[in-house]
Amino acid sequence: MTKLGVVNFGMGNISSITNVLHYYKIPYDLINYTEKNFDKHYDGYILPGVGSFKNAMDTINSSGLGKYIIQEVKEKHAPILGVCLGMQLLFDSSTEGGGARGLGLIEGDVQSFESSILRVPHVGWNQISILKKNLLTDLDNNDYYFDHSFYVSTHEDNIISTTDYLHNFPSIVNKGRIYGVQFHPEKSQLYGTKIINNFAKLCGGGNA
Amino acid sequence: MKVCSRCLYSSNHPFGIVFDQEGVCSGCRVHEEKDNLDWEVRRERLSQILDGFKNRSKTNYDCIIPVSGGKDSYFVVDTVKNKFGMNPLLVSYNTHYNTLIGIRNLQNLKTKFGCDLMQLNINPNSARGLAKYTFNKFGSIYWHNHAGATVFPVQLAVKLKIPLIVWGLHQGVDQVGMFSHLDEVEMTRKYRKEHDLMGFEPEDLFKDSKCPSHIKEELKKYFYPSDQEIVDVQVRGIFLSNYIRWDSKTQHEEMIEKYDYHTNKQARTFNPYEDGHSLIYNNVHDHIKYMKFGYSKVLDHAVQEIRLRRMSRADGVELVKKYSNKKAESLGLFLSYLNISSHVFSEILVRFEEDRVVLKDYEIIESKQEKNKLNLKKNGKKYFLTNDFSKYEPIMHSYYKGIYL
Amino acid sequence: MLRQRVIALILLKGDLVVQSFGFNLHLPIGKLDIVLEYLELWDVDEVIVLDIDATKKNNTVNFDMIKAASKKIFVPLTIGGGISSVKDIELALHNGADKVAINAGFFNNDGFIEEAVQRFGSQCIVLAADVMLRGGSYFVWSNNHQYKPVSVTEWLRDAIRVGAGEIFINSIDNDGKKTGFDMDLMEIIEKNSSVPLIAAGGAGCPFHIKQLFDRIDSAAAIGNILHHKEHSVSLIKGYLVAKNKNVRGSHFLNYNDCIFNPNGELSPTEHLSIFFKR
Repeated sequence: MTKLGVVNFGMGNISSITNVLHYYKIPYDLINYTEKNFDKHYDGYILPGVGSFKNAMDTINSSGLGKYIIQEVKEKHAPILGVCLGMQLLFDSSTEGGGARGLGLIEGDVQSFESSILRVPHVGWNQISILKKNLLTDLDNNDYYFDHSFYVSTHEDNIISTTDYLHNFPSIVNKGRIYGVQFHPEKSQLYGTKIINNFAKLCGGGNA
Repeated sequence: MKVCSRCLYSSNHPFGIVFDQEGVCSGCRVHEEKDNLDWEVRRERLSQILDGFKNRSKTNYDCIIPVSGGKDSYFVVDTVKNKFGMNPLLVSYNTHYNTLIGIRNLQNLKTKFGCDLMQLNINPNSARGLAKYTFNKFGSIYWHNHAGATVFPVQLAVKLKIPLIVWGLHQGVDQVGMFSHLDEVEMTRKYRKEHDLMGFEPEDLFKDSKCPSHIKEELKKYFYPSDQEIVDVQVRGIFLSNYIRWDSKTQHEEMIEKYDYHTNKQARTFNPYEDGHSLIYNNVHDHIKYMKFGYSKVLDHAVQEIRLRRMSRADGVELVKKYSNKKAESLGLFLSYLNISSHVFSEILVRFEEDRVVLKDYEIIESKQEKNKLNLKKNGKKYFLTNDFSKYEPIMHSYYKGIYL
Repeated sequence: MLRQRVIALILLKGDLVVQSFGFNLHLPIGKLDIVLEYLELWDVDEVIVLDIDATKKNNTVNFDMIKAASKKIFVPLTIGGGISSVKDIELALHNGADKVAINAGFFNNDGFIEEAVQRFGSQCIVLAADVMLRGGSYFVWSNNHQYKPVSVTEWLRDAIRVGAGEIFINSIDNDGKKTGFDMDLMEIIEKNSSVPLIAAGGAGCPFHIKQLFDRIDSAAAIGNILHHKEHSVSLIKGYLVAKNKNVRGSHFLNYNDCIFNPNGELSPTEHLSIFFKR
């Protein structure tokens, strides 16, 4: 039976993600940063998060979660879905808080929106423009809920969709079996929750 | 446990209730609007709304009026048809357990007003099965009647493409002041689920894995039309009580005089006007409510009279005390009909006992000012009019006798 | 393009959802979980739930009730009511809240806000103010009445300084009046804030939301009128889409093609023409 691992490094509303997994009857375990060791292998990982890049990476590294995730993704080729801050953590670095290094699973880095021009954070419903076919969203350019002050820059090969907030930034990224969504699929009603189900499907599970 | 300083409602009212700094409940505060609003303006507003729906539906009915053999049916039909010149379709859900007076009143209604009537009769065995199931599940024998009476008009509105449904009194506004009259609240599926159906829609019960399949088949008949159907027809349900200064007793008396509406003396309340059509509503169903919440329909009737200054609070308390404990006459007959022993009945009830408040806990503070504002009928005339129809013996009916058709 | 949000504002007195008129009269509506269930069906953009009694009673909003009710919706949920410490915020976020709204807590101790922003991110923090017009100027009034009123521009400066992610402004004067939002107030806030803004207080019909969206770059929080009509939020969205406003339409409850009266309400007088179209 396909089982997902939901990584909890103590930042963000985990229960929103688990509510969706319950709704689609997708089995999962919580992988808490407080655990002593991480030796279980899951069919896929969800990395949700809200807050500071630097704080997140500090917790992830010191707890051993970082090493575990990188191993699972690089060596065991497990699919991973990063949500919001979770997506940003997949990249090399962020300028936040004086600079911090990320998991480095996809090349690229994270910088902040220009607050002298735009209202920051970028919060509310915005559309995605899908650039290429993918397994995550087989749907049209719908609205999803965003709430973030930083955005990702990466090579266009890694970009599945962009969203416009003064300029275009990546809203969905993908490299191999690594996926990231800048918005909150668990808070974007039908089209959002379907993305989580689609991710579960490509891990071998999910519900029709 | 708080009690309103004006009426008799307490903080355990199932709709939810708010008390302000003076200890007056939200129901009494909204009731003040009956003396403060310009009801001519409200009536004009109703006229504008109804005008907009004249000759607009696909059939030649302007609106749907849900009716029964009792309650406000006569007044609503009289208002909509005679006072505002609409062409209504009367819609009735047979709540079973009808009294002969109720059957007669409904027949008299359609005859006197010359209206077409569509009625849904769920077969009695199904009704019995549902009553037993819901009584076991959440302590209500009347749930399926509320479900049917609130959904059948909407199902017809969608099927016949008649967008407007005209209801009479909004219970939430009337009892606890859930809305101001100026909010012009309309019918919502959400209100039906929470306050008519005790938080359980038929669709919810259907999803329960423990629900027996024969009950599931019955529940389908009570499913709400889909959202798309509602949107397509733009179905709306309005309440006359938002536009007309509602006074149930006076309105009924007008109907008795003009249209020969028959009343039915009740065992568990002093008000013979409202629920005479049902054998069990003010009877078994009310008794169950009393066991669960510690109050019954007589309290609602007393509060109406107190707020309209026709009864003192002290008199209200006496009446509530007197009637709340009256025996539910048909209880034995009804239990045998449902095939439940009285022992099992008590056991099930105990499970659902909520926050009970019984009247002896009330503090009676009668102010002289309140007493002077009273408008009690004098000259020995009976406070409530009753017909003397001793030959009408309540029997368990769920079909019409030939003579009434 | 980023849409303008139509947000549901749900007020609680303890465990009871209520309507509010002038911060004075409160009318009972019912239970929170059923309200949220139907807001989700009506495609609301976001929900804010505030317990207006919490601070007075030296309490916080009922987190257990929030946790259970939050399972009914798949849009962001902001919770407020007596939140006055980092621990409170942590509890809220663990019990179904995506963001927290802080009102009196901010007056009392804005230091904890900075700590919270550090820990949870400014995205989680909504700073809320109840505002009154007095002597020609706008003042922020603490619900607790313990604190002296503060000019709204001064309050705004502090709110932005401590790192608020969003600003929520509720007009006490317009509360429950159904005469529209306080445009002058919202304009002042819009001009003096670089942070996203949520306007509340006074919405009486869909037209009022259009009025706000035409003039001010903010989200619209609607309270009492949510509970008055079937599909209330979807009706509002249908009207706004019909008037070409940049809002996320209601997908399954599509009232976009209906005829509306000048207030933005469904107009029955055009019914016949709709049937002829089919």
